[in-house]
Amino acid sequence: MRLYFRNAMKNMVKTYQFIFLRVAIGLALAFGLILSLVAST
Amino acid sequence: MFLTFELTVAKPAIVVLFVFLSLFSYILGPYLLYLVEAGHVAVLTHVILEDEIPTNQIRFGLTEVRTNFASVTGLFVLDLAIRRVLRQLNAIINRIVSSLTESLSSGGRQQEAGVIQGVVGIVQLALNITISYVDKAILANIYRSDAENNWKPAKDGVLLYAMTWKPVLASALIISTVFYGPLIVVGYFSEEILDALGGEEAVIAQIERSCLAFRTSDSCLPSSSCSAY
Repeated sequence: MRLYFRNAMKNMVKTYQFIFLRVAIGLALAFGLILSLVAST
Repeated sequence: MFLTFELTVAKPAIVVLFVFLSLFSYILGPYLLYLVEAGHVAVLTHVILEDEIPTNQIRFGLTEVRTNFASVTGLFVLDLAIRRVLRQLNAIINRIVSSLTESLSSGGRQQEAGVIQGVVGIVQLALNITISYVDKAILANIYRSDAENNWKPAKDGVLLYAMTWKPVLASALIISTVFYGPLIVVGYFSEEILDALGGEEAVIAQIERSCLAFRTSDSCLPSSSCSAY
């Protein structure tokens, strides 16, 4: 079971380009949300 | 004159704006994010099966999504439906657990209440993770097969996902324990932590002070959540 999890994590890390893309999109969305909240108050 | 302008132009414009915004926030935005997610699943499937990493992963994912565009769109709808169902399920679980922990806390058993909250959090998150990856499993099996009709690989994908329930559930439990394990520890030692921070009154006063520092004087109401806490 632990081996399965470790392999899954290893394969996940190999797709680093997509992980960077998704983290960047998530950060941009969060930043936009905070900005809109700050602007509305 | 001005009134007629308002009624004929401004009203439809507001309606159009409202429809556009709600479409974007509920359908289009999640759809674009799902396309990115589908591309990620495509690259992950390729890495697992071929043991080879594409040089431009984004382009590889994009072409894979483009060739299976109809299936991806259908699975997006499935994902939306699953999310809605999970939200309802979580609301029911939260209602039951909060009534239980409230009665425990009022009986002076805060430690048990904290532990129950943590354990239920672990199970709930594991359940959410497990259920919300059904559509990704279907997608991966569609990418894997070269069949003309995507319906059969989709059905096989559900079966394969159900057959591998053990490692899937174990991974979900590991992930949710990492998230909720600290919560159980904090919940169990809440009294000790409060004492170490100088008692309940001191902590509440500190929270109130930081809330006052955070909010501006105009936008705060006298009975806001901070002073009620």
